[in-house]
Amino acid sequence: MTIAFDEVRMLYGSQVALDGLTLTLAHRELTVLVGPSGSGKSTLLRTINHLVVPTSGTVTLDGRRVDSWKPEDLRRGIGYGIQSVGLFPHHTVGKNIAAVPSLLKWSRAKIADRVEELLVLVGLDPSRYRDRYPHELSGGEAQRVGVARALAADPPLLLLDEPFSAVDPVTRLRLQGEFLSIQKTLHKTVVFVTHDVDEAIRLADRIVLLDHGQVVQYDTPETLLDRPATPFAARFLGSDRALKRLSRRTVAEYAKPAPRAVLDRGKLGPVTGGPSRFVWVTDTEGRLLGSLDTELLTGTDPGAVLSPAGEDLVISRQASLREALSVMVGTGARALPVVEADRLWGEIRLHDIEGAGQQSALRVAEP
Amino acid sequence: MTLIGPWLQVKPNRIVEGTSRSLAFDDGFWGAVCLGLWALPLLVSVFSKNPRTPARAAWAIFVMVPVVVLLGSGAVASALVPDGSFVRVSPSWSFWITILGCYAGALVLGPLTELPRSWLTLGKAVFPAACLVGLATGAFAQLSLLKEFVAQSDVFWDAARIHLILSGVAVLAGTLLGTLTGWGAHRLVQFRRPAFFFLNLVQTLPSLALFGLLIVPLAALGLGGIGPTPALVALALYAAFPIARSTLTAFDHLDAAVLDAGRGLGMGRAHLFFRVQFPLALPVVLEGVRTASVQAVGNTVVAALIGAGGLGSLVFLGLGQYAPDLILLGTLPVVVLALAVDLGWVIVLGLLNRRVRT
Repeated sequence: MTIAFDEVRMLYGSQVALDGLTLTLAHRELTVLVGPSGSGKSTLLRTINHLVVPTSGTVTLDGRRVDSWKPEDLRRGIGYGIQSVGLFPHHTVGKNIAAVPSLLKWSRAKIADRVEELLVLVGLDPSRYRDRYPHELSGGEAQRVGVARALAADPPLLLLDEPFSAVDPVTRLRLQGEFLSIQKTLHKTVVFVTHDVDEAIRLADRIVLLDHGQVVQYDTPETLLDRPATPFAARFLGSDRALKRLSRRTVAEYAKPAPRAVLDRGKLGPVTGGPSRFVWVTDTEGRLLGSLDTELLTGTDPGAVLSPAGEDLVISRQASLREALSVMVGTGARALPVVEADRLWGEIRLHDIEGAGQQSALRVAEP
Repeated sequence: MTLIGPWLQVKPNRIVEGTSRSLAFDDGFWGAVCLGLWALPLLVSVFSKNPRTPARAAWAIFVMVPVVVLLGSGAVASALVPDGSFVRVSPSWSFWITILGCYAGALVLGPLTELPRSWLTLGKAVFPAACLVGLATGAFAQLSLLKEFVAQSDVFWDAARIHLILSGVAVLAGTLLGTLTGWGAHRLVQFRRPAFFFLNLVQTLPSLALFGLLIVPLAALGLGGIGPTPALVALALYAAFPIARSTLTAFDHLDAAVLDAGRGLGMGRAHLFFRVQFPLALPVVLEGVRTASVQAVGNTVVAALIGAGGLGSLVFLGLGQYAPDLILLGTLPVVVLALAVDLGWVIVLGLLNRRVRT
């Protein structure tokens, strides 16, 4: 669904919330509206489902003006999730999720199936959660239910206003990851408001950077980080733009085959995966045991020179380059073993991460 | 002291001044039973090592003593009063102080005993249960209050019926008026100040003054200045205030995020009201109705003064005749009724709130 804003102005008294904003958001993309507080991002989101009626200008969905619908009908066709979740405290989780389907008068059986399906989708066991009340949920569970409720009637468009901001950072990271994988399968048109730049960069196909009710820049996260359009944009994205860029890249993209050897009953096998002074040592199943320096390997017992692999010295395939860099800086290691499901998969070197960071540095230097 | 003080009054008939009996000097058996009740718990708490035992023992004494005093008074009355005589035996101040003091003691000690809730509830139920058993078995039949009741039973039931109707109708009307006022004040900020100014004013007027004030305008309307109509108007106005307050609070404090979510999901005004606002506000509104209905039961007593009837008429009749039994016959049922109404609401609200905690 294409969303077009044309010269949208919104005044609250003499306060300008949206200042003649013109913008078109692409079909089936996850667009993140980001900006400092008071930049108008929530107001802009709420003009889409007519919760905010602009002072002037038009908002259209696939060319049709939003005020040409009856507001209730418009909103029933758009998924909506908000910061404090706003679950109905007197309804069970199941009934909360069923809110829009029951407004649309779906049959009871169809609603029950849909609720089950959605609970599974957001990673909550239906038999355990369906009949709970919101006050019995943790913050993360409530946010999941909020997302499920927004998705309930399978709307083509999803509006999410800081949906993950009320939970702790660890839970937020997990919810973001889960939401990304849901979005990968559903491919909804999503408009997502946040004030958290990292969240924007992690989730967005495209970012709209707003300030004082105007669009500062509308670009992919990579372009935004490489070429911030204004000093404000550069400041807002932070001086660690190169690091943020690394958070868009996964270890898997930059990892190389690891020089490795199998340690079997005290005997070290041949090194495979390229010649190297340092090799990763695994058991016969491919599970990482540690690393060793082949120059120290003079005696008969390779186990004596093996430095065991601590859990904090291992990085998973799906981790971002930023996380890998953080581990390296924290431990002083210049290379990390990359694992997938406990097995050694490859290695990532500081040198390669620097390469990824410098690419973007070069691009910033372009005129 | 309560052992020495007069616990029962014996009068040759309903009006004449009587003689006092004390537990210590006249009814030594019951006095001894009361003292004996202290012995066992005291012994237990002296020898027990559990730090909770003294509190529990005292609590048990406070629960049991009123029952003994109550049953004892019934038994003594039965012994003293020959059938068909005019002799009246009525509880005197030692009796009332013992019961009130023990009730207060049990209430204070309850939490300190750290007994399970069900035990404490059971403890509270012992005295009412003893009252009911005594009434049902006729053990109290010779107590003066009961004799008065038998003598006045037609008048009593009539008064009780009118009392219930008056306070019930007043609460219904007050609920209607109060919820509408509260809701209106929630929707229209300009309406808030005048509405609550008026209802506040009504609250500050003594009920008798309000009845007086209503006589003129109601008479002008042709409704009559005395009788049940002005009483109902005044009682309903009194009841409206707490209900309007709680309704306003309930709707003002609904979670804005929940309402925003409801609107954003496509609920129209009616859906939002009936599916979200109303069910969420209801428990708070009903708290106001609870307060109002307990107050109404009490306020209705005063309504007797302008000829509306009710249990108040027994009270004022008793005051006029200096017949304490008659005053009690009017007052005790009002107290019991108020407590029963409150208990009823506690149960209803408990059922309503069991699942929802916002």
